Amino acid sequence: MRVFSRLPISLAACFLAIAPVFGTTLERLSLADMARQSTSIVRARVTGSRSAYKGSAIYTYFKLQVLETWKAAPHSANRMATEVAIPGGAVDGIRQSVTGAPELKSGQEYVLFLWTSRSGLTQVIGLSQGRFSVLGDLVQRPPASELMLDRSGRPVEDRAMSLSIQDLRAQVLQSLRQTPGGAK
Amino acid sequence: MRSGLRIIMRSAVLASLLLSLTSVSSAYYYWIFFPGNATSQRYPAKFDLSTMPDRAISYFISDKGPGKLVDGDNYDALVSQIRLAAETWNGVTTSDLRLRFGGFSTVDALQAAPGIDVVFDDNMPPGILAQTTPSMPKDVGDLTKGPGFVPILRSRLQLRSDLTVKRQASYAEAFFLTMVHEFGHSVGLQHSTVSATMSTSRTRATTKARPLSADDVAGISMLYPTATFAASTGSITGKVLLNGNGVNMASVVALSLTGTAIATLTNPDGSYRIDGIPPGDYYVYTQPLPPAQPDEGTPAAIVPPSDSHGGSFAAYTGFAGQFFPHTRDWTQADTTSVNAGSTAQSINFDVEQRSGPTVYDMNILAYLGPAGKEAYVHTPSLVSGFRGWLVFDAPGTLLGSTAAVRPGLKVNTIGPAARMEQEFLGYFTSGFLYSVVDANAVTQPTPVALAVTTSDDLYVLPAALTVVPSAGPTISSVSGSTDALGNATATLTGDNLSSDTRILFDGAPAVSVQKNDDGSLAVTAPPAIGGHVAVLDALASDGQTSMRVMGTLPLPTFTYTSPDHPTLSIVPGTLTAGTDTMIEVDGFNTNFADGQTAIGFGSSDVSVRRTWIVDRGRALLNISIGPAATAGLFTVTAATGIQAVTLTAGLQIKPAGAQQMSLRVPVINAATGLPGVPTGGTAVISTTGLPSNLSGWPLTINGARVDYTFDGSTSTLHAVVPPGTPLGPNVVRLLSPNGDAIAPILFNVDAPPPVIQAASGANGPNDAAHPAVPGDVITLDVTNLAGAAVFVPASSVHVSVGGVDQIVTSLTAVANSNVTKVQFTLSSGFPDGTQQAMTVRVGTRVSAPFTLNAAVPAPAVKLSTRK
Repeated sequence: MRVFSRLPISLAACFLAIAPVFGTTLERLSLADMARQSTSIVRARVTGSRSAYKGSAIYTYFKLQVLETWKAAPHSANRMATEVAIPGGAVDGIRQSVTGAPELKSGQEYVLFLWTSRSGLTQVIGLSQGRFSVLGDLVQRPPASELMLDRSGRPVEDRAMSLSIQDLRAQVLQSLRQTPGGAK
Repeated sequence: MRSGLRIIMRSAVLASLLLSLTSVSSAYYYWIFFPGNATSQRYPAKFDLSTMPDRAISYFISDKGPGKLVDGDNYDALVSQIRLAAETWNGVTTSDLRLRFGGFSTVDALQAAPGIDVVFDDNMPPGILAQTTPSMPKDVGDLTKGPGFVPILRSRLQLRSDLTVKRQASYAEAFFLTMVHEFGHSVGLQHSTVSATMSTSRTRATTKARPLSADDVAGISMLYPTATFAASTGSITGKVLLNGNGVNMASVVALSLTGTAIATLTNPDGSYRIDGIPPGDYYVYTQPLPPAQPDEGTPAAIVPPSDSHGGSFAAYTGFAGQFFPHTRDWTQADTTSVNAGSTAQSINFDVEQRSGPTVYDMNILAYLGPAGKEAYVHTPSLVSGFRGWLVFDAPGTLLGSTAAVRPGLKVNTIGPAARMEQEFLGYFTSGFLYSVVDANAVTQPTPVALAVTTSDDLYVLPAALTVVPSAGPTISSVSGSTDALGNATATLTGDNLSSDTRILFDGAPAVSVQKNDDGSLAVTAPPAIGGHVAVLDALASDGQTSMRVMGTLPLPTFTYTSPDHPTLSIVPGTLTAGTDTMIEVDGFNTNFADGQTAIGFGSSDVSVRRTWIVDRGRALLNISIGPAATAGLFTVTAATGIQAVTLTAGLQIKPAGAQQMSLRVPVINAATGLPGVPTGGTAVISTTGLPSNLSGWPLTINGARVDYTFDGSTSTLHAVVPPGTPLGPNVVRLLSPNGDAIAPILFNVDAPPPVIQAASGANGPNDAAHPAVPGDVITLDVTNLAGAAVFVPASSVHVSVGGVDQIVTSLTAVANSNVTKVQFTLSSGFPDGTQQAMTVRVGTRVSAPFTLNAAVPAPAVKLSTRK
């Protein structure tokens, strides 16, 4: 006789209790996560690019004309990052391609959640997660398809993000207010 | 070694690991280049194996290991899992690529030859866990005049230095499969959408026990094919058109009812070709790539193809999926027959326009495990007779962010192995749906695809679950010990364990597994240093593993005890670029073992050509140093099992001299062309840089002077191996009367070759009156088959008839004699002629040809009748 296996009453509780034996999850960052983990958040226009080696890795450095700063690196003696590095590019006859690397177009405006490493390299959080295209008064970012877990291990749904710049700024600033040394 | 890294107390929670490369993509796919405007001829990026000694690519692990590890993990375990992941690709017999562990190296050290570097670097923003970057020439030139591909120059496989981010424990299956995936990228594979290891983790359906799917095998085999691969598989071709226009980068999948799924992406003109398909019947379907996700620059995170001007060809995703021909109902679809060596053509699709896929990227889970210790298992294995819940989520299955199931949504299984009970389909919680699935009786593990349909779209997920005939293995206890020499043995108890069960100690397989009468397993553990705690996993041939079956039960472990830490030394310690040479590696407290020990020198410019393990503490090697090798100091590594011993800066490479002289490996048998020469046989020794007159230049074998001839046209020395030369590795040395240094090399002295004494078929001795025909079982009486070995398995005996390899089916030793009866079934395909030259080969020992009388039967005559 076939026996019906029993599902736990609370799926969320099970996710909470253990990491799945073979849970295949992304560490998708919420807006609040990105706001907190970013070292800087800017609205900027890309004005140019160059590629260069850093060690054995090639990065393409996109020059930014910063239009607005939502978060500045605290206690930093350095100026706000005016370049963001995207992995991949071509230098000295060698090309490196990184799948999933975001595309930044010269002349295009973005809201960028940036993270600067201890070595001083500034990159976009999560390859493309922290890149929002600015189109008029709106910012856009497509939805995630992967299973996402929040910090408690509960699955969360991601949605396409399309909202006004003001709303995005307000959400970011609210997140930062809840974090010491956050908002500019 | 790896001093500074603490071994932290173990915890029972397994890690889930995410790739930075999130999107799902269809089929095996490569970095593709088109020549100019011609987009029907693809040029992939791949390593140029012809430039590499033995066609092997070395991979190196950074000598700056990770800064932080998960509780209970350790660096030796991590290295063993990385090595197991690389070795997984070596197990594809239809691929010509071999990955070789080159040891630990300094990151960013200049190296002329291609290779792969595994590095630990936190220069990765939050949200990214691993990233692989192949380097290629920026200017691909005229692709039509080149070797047919764009060469990968080097690949960099980057993991985080802080592996506690997302709890990346090396013992977790997710970590291992991620490493297999990343190595796949490093050799030129992009993403797949048919639930392969080259798919992203969300839809990946492979396991540690079955880490490669048919699509992965096809992908690597088509990129680096062996001579016989194409002839053993078939192809499907066709076009995907929308209103008469070609659809670029549409996924086209060949799906069998036995779970095989192999696919490709279309060209900009809509044409496609799926190669590497095992013979059989397939449904063929097409569906678009899913939209680019937040951490992707392009749909499915696939780098689109480029042309030689740097232009790229974006994917078109605005169409609805369909089975061939033109149906969303798999039960109404036609099957396409694929035969070896042939192509099923004109499997075309005329697709309908949509704004994009409705449903995609489905994630499947089942709640499985011992009562009270269940866990959610991704793409689960369900035992025949299982009836229970399946939980899944995918964009498009719900209306917006509500709990309302999309009207018209149906989720069906494809094929008879399982059935979804549609009446149970409903919303569960947190964006997940559920339904009830029945696993039917199967005799073989059978992956099951799901067909997800809406009113106007189709999405297929291959291998969403696998139905297996019986329950998987468990390990309930481990006991054992390690002796003073470091030999470790363990007794494992559990369920569903057999002598065929593979037991892993971290990433290293047990040396031997035997089943005891009480059902437990007696296991010889792979070597590790004293104090190491290894996590055990039992792997079944049906793809199940004990980690997947045992839910949240604590992980079984084995603790190694003494001896003290092993060390290495090498002779000589200084070598010259542009030479081949022998090296002796001596180990103290090491456990060198034939077939298990990998020795590397931390540079892709240094290739290990052959290793002889003399004993647990001594190894002899032939190595080649590239002419452009960078001078400097390099780390020597000897890895056996979980034990990785290093000698930092143990090897110094000097630049090549102006007229660098060298003997070259391998030394070849003049009679067979193989690298093994019996006494009395003629050894052919290649050389470079020698003067044309070698009078006064003594040649020695094993220290004894031998006569030789020098063929200046081929720069080869020819010498007869003297009687009495011991079997195994022997030193060949050419002495310059001027005292110029010429490094010695090793060659193998083989036992005498096997001898075919007689051949017979079912009707008696093989002769002209009783020739063999294809299909006949032939028995050979062979003397001296094993040579110096105690035992040879049937898999190591090769019979060739007229140049066509035969499959040996059995070996039977005749008692009280030196005769072994070798049996095989004669295959077709040998050349015309009634007398075929037949040989038996074991390793490099080849018999003299023996004549087999053979005949090809006349084709059957088809009688026709007239009305």
